[in-house]
Amino acid sequence: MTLTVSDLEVHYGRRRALEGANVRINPGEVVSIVGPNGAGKSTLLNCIAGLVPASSGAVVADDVELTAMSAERVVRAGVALVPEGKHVFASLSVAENMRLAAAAFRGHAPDAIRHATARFPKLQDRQSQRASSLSGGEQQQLMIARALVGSPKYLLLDEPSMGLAPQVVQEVFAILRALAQAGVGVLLVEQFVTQAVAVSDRVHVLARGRVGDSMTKAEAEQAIDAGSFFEAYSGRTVQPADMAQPRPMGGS
Amino acid sequence: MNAATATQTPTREPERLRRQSKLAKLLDTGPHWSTALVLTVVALAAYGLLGLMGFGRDANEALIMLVAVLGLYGYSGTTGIASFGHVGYMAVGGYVAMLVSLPSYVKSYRLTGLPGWLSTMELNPYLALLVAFAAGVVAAAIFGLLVWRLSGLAAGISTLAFLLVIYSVTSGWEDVTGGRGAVPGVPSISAGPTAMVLAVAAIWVTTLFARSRAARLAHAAREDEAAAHAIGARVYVGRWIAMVYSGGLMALAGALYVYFVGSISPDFFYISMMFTLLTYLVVGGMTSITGAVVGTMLVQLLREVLDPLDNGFHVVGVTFDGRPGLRFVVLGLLTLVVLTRRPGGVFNGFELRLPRRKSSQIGADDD
Amino acid sequence: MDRTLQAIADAISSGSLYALIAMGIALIFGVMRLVNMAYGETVVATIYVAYFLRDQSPVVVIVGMLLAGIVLSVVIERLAFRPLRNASPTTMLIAAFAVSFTLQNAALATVGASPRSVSAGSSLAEVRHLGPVDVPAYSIVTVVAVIVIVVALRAFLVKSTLGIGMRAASEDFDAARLLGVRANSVIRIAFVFSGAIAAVVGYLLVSATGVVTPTSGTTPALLGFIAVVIGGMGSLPAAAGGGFLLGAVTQILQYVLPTDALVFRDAILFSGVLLLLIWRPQGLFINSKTIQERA
Repeated sequence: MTLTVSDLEVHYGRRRALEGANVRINPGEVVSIVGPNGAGKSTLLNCIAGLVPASSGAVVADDVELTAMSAERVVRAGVALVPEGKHVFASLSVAENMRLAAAAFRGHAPDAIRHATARFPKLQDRQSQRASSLSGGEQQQLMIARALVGSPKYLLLDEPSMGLAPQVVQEVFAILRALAQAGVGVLLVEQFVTQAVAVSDRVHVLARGRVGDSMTKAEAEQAIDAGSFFEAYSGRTVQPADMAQPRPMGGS
Repeated sequence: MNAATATQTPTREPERLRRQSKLAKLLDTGPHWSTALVLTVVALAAYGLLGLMGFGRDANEALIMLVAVLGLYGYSGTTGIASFGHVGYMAVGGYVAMLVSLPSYVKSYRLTGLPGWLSTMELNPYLALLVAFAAGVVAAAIFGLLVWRLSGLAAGISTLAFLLVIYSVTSGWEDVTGGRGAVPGVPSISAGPTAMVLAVAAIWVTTLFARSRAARLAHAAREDEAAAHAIGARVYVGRWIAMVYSGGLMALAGALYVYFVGSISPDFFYISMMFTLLTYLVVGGMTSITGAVVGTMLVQLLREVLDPLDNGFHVVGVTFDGRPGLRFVVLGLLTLVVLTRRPGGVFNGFELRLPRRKSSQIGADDD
Repeated sequence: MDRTLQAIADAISSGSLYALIAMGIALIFGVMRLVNMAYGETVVATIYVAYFLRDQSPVVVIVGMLLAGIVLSVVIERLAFRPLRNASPTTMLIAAFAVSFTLQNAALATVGASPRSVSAGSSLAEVRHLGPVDVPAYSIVTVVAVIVIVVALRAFLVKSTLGIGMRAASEDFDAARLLGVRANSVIRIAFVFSGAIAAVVGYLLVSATGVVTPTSGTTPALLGFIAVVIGGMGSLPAAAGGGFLLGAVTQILQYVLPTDALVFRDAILFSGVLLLLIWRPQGLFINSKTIQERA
């Protein structure tokens, strides 16, 4: 039981946005993909989720081939994406957002919704409020809660920390860790390297469309401490010159 | 959020063009001066072909339409704003030309609302073409100033509103424009040679324009609206210049059309003409001059070839009476097929040129 | 005073019809960001169906018109618009134009250009006297129809899951897909409703005019697009508002202008539209809050 991305390539016109990506996520682990802007991180997630077609390669989740599936079917197959940025339906209430998410799945909607919002007490209090009136952190929580309604086996998140205060980011990442402990496979794409590494089991670096091999959290933290995080991955995969070294956590 | 950026979509055929290196020698991503040369040859050849096929009159019309399409390209092709109302400039040009060159005895009884100086004016039709061009430039300058900040759909609809105003004025102002009725006495010119000269001139001038800074400014606004705002007003100036250029050219085409047909009517310059021009642009490709020129000649040829659908034919014992409008159904379907399979048109933004002498790399700059 | 009341009554009636047209167009724009240029031809098609069913009972005629509107709309979506779903707005717009042009000429080639007289709804041409104003029955029906359709649509969009899905898809199409909202279904439903409204518009239009030609739909559709843009794109109530305003102002101008100037009614109207667009390109009834939500 894994989510496997094999030699995935995505082209926009003649431009190759993602080249030969190989990633694997097992249930219960958190895998992070870090890298600079424009490297192709969103492209990778959008392709897995079915929003963007692959030009070659494959995505397989628990023996189900997702590669050519449309987004609506991918989410029903148990792979849910929380996209980058603000994507709550602003004109809908929190409850309507959740109800919509539940509509795609069989089973008792109210139960599924309750289960999904169990981790988010703040959302439970704001059921009838318009989504646009929620704070940034609450909106992010809503987006995650929506994605959880179908009890996905794999959760993909595109820069969930964006625009959030550090403390809120901690809360969100804690929730991700808890989800992994509950058996969900989490694939996290982030610019916030040190925090992402802290919550992950494994880390990949993605730069210029290429995904490096995975390193364990320990290896990653060692490299950060040594100030050589991106060099640990240089060679054919990334060009460390374009990126700033991440600083170790707890230090400045 | 867009799964793909506004101007690009993921594709499964990344390397196809690179394999066509022979073709690459003839194609460029922007117009070269040799593009104008190639296109002139293409246009004249198509003109000759139409003439040989017996469609002399329609060959002239093709060249006049070419001037109009180049005008439309001058705006929509550079700014990326789909303009539905640019035909209004054709109306401006057509009516101005008519007003200044119509014999005064006709004006005295048919267009009684004209001021004295206009009523007695009887300009040489060739001079009238110039006046028409100027009128188009002025109209576009004014209209362009009004709408230069608009983008996207609002800009497109604003040009539509412009067209509707013009249509309303030309149909309603009986005393000045003749309204919907016939206006006799429109002078004639030797349509063929004039159209040829003007069409060729239009090809060269439009090529020059497309290479100009103004066009590049207008283009910048289209690619990334937010970044363009950051650059500031200069981008809007580009749009305005594109509008002025296209207004003038289309007014010229409108005047030519009136002389060619020998009469005038508000319906000449309305939805039907708009769609015809749009078809020409779409088939060839709206984003390159080559697309505009080749598209026009191609579709015009097609229109003639399909004529039997409208007017009937008798072939190998099969007789078909002809249903007027049928050939436009075919043309419309063709446009749809082009749009769905290859929205960039046949040329997809590329320009024809004389083969490069040096390298065969696409985009290599050897100017 | 009576003349003023009459003007107001006519304005309301005309405004309501255009509000309907604008809604039919806005429904599709909301989910697809496509201005359905072929809407006029869809309306005309329903009227031609009424013509061909002219010997049948009124119920058959109405059902026929509804079916025609819905089927044609769904077919157009499937064949012309679905392949272009990810294309640029300009391409989609031109495609819509192409569909419109093709349909118009198809009508020309099959039924011909001469006007056909259609009796459907002719009973609605009877004039009723409501106090000081004379109002043709179809005006009353138009206003009722608008109210019923607005209320029904609102209920659908707010109460049903499918409706919520449509609202979500209108706001953020891809995010909706990521929640499992079926893109094809949402769009198809929008076209079904739009087609049904087209039939209603066709019925009301022909009860007022009594004839149909292949080009009968051009002007109403044009006015519809303009209405959607000046009212505010992407919002159904705003579009209805824009339609109502346009229709009402057209009638008011008809009353207010001196006879000599009547021929310039459209010129004045559209100059006003131009000025409106320059002043508020985002639409009259869209405020900054709504824009923020959609950002």
